[in-house]
Amino acid sequence: LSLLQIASNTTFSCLIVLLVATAFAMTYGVNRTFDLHLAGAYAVGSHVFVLLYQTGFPSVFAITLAVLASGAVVYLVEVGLYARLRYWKADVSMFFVLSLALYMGITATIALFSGVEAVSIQRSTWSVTIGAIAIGGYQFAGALIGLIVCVGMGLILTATSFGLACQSVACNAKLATTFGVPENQVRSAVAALAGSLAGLAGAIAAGDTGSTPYSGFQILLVAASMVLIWSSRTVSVPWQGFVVVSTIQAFVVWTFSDRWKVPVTLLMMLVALFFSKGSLGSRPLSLRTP
Amino acid sequence: VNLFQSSYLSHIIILLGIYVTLASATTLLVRDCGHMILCSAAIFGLGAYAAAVSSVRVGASVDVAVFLAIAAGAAGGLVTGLVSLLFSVGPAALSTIGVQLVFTTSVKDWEGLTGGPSGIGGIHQGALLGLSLASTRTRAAYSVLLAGLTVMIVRMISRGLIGVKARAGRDDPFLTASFGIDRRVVNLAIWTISGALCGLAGAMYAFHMQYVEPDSFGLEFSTLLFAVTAFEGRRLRLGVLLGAAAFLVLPEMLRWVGSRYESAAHLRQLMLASGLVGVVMFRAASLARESKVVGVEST
Repeated sequence: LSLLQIASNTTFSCLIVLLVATAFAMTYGVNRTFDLHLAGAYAVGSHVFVLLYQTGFPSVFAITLAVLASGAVVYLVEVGLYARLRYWKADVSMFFVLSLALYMGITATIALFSGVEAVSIQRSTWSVTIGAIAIGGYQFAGALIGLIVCVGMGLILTATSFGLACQSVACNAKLATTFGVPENQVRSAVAALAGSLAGLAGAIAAGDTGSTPYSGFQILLVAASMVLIWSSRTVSVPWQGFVVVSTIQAFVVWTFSDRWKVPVTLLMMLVALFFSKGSLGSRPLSLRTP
Repeated sequence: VNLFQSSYLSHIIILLGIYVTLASATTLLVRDCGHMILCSAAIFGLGAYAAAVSSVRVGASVDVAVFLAIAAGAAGGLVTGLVSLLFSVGPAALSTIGVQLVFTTSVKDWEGLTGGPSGIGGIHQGALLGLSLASTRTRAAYSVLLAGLTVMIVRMISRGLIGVKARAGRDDPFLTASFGIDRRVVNLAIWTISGALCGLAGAMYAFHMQYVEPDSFGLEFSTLLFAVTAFEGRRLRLGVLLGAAAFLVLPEMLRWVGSRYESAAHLRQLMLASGLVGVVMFRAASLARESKVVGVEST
């Protein structure tokens, strides 16, 4: 494959990952927790979509129901478990272990009913050709949907009162509550939206590559890299992270092999974290005289 | 009666010993150092591959192979400890996932040495400290000895000065530093010891199964080992043993009741996940209650 073809392939697949990255950015920004169960929501989205599509539902209805199902899962986790942990003032590690357990539980449940083999659907064979680049039609449509949704989410998170409420809870939840921002409702809405985005990504990816219970984990790791590799302080769509990660992945696939793209992406993220503000590799803080 | 006469029970005992060793070594890091470690399987695999490569490719004796496995595990633990100590809680957990993925990918890609995805087979069961490993009962005895030794070492470390220093560093790093204790050195020492124990368990696994392959040491196994450590509570000191037993015995029981092997694995994972959710919620609630009681007493 030519470098141009590899670059376009990674860019198009990263656009679907960007949906999960936006979901991760929202929950990590507002709650400061590593929500591994978003990978479970991804798996729920992909399996519900495949299941409904195979029973004869039109694609649009199947995707809508998949998005609703995965959104409901993450919303229930927030309301039923996370809110209680927050009330008990549990530390971040408790949230992490809980989300790990939820991920395990969700994937095991799916595997129990559908098995671990990839379940794929019959798809059209049309493709889009732009110059020397050929892209599968489904991949192209999925990436286009991903792009439109991410642009929409970017607008919601930066130009609406809901976005402002999210930013204020992320910055200082106590202060936001004092000024009348309903903290719990914001957290619940963020959970529902994040779950829906992860489910949408899962449904889109399932149409192209099929659905397996464990496929969401690596996608979530790459999505987390997109968020953390550039900046993790704001609740927004991680566009810069998307550019950096897709470039790194294209380069790795071109130089080594497809297998190394996830480990190298994680490694780059860790290097970025090491040099980020407040970490060991950053410039030491100093007191300045006014 | 057939069950006890056959080597099946010995096989279960050997695996239980290995799992208890791994879970105990991981618990030391999770409980005393406060690390979230998701690469125990990689360090375990490092030991298994060190034993397999030295035995099959180089033709080393079992004693030498076991020693190399311990050294490889200790080195793997030290390197992972160095990587994870660079970050705070969340990224540190991610860094251990990174170590796990790098290990799995390297083992799959380095076909000349590790045999790639097919792994290494035909590991010769020679004699360890003069006793032949060809007998299943000898391997079972070694496995029980290994588990007992690990539990003893972990208890000694946990109750000793190094354990106290590690827990002090975990609870209040600034106060610990003000007493002149370097938390990083203490944690690295525990990482190295834990890695060596995992490496030893890896060698035991390689010589028992006579075959190693990358999928046996994947992220799922690390996750399950981490989940098992959550069963260790403040009052329930044998939690790791119970967790490891549940992890191993449950699928065997499910197989007996006629469940398919795959379904048994998923059921086991589902039950572990449910147990983990229960443990986390229970511990969070009890910690909140304790802090409330302490708050009332202090006022």
